[in-house]
Amino acid sequence: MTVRRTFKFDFPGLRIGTAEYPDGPTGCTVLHFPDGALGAIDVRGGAAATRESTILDHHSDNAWVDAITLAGGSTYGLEAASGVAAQILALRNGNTSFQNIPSVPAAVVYDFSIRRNPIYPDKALGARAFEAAVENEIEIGPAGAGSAVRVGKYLGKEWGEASGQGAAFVKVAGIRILVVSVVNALGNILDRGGKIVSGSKDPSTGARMSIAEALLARDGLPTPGESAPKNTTLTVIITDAKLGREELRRIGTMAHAALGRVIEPFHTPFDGDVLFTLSTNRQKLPESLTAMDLGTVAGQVAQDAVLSVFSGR
Amino acid sequence: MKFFVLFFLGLSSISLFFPSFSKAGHEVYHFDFNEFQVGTAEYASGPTGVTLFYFPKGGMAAVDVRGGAAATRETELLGSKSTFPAVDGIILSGGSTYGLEAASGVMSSILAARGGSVKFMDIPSVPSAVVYDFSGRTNSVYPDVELGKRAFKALRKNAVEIGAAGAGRFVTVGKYFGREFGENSGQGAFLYSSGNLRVFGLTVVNAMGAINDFEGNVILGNFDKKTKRRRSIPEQLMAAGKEALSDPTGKGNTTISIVITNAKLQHNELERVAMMAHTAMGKMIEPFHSPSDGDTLFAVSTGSFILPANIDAAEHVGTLAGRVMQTAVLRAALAAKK
Repeated sequence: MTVRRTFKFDFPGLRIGTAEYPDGPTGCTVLHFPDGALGAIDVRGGAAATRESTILDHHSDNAWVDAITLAGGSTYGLEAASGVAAQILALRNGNTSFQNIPSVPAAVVYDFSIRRNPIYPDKALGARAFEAAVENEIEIGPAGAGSAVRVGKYLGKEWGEASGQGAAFVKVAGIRILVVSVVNALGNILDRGGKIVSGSKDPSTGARMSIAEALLARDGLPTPGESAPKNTTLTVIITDAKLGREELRRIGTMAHAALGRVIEPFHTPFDGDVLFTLSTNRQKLPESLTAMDLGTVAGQVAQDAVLSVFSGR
Repeated sequence: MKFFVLFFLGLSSISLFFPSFSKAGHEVYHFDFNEFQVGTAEYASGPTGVTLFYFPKGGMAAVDVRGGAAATRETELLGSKSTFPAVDGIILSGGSTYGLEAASGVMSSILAARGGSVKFMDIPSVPSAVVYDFSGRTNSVYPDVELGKRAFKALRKNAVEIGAAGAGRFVTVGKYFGREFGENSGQGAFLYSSGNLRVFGLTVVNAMGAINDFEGNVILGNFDKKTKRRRSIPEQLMAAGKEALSDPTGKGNTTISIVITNAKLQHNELERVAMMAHTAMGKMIEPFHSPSDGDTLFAVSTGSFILPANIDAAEHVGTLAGRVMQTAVLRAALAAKK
């Protein structure tokens, strides 16, 4: 089991809210930028379901984002973003001029595997998460989009263990970096020393197993149990440094690769892994810090965010 | 070889100033995978070199470009929109963008081998990626048509020189805080085999980042000559905060890699294998895919081995390929240190 608790940080210009349907269970997590944020996306999974990801890629003219929605419920859960958009429309007094149309990218996780009902985050739940949004804190563990997620299901879903959403925050040379991650990976979670902290737990012995080592030891031919074919890790990196879109995209690429140290294997054909990188553009980068430095640090913070899910046990 | 190098260093004053010019740290890696040939060729006067893979019966290929500064050739052919994502060879080269010329030498050799036929189906495809290996030398010698032809002539089965050899002849790692913290690296290789299944990997490691072992200890790069210690770049950066300046001149880094399997895969599965393998390398190279890395990984399937139907081929081969590439990175570092 993972433990639900509140993680506190210090990040002006960002509000985060979670909302859940306990009878799913399922939920969603909304990150709202009242003054907007510049965004980029890194899609690495083979089975990603997303909304408005195209405005974040390099072909688009404008990558300005109002909110990011992460949700359970697989593709159905994309509906939650419509609730967020509706709330923003209300805040803007119904103004639908082009410049006032909000952008609410979203990505989802498949969280139906250990429940029998089809309850998913809908428009009403998205609106509730938006209304619940507060500054400087987030519920982590089994909360929001991470309400019913699991990790380490490579050898069969009965080998999986409870996961959740995590967060980590640092200030380096005055620049803020917050990472939020919803960890529903097919792979195991490793600490930085390479030790498995969650996933692939043998239902009979209780021992956790390295998937790569299990494959190698069994001469490459495992006998998988009932597979859990839909998995995903969703990650959001937010900084307040003024950066260009190319720099944001690069930070996302570097941080996503760094997560390969704590999630193994990662980006499988059955993971819909998506990472958003956003900047509130409030602080000029100090001369001592480059975008590459932020990418390096963000990788470390992203690793911490994933590990935070399991640290409260 | 160690004794030879010491002897050479002792005799040559030039090599005292440029100790990396002596061909230290390499060995031959033997393996058992008959469906491709590999050849290396070098210009000692650079030094620089190439590593060529040739598939006599062709192979289906995919590419995963992750670096911010990648110089490649024919990668569009390998994308998911391509009708014929098939290759005759893949060439990894030094000489930065200039080094893409070496692929033309290979093309020329294949044309000769095919009796000069230029029918559409006979036009070969030899995608390529390069590393920047001009730092630490003052000449502009780069792999050209001639060196590509020499690599084609040097093709052989089941053995490749690793360490400071081929495209990895003059590469370094761990230069995040400045070139003076870098250490000589090379190319590394590893084969996984189980029954008839083969997953082979080779990587030319010219990364901005440093190399970790499987336990997360830095074993090559970011070496402080004063303290004789190597440190984790992310940890050093976080501990030092303001004071830790990355080197603004540290451009021109790249890790270029290839995964070859005989497992039969669909093209999208092969792309998935490439991505999984590339990400797994992030365990051994930290940081990876920086703005000044041109990181590129090719994946090739010869398709002769069909995995049992109860196994998802991409997931299975991708996971194995990740471990193969991690081991190849480790072997590049260990061979270069010899």
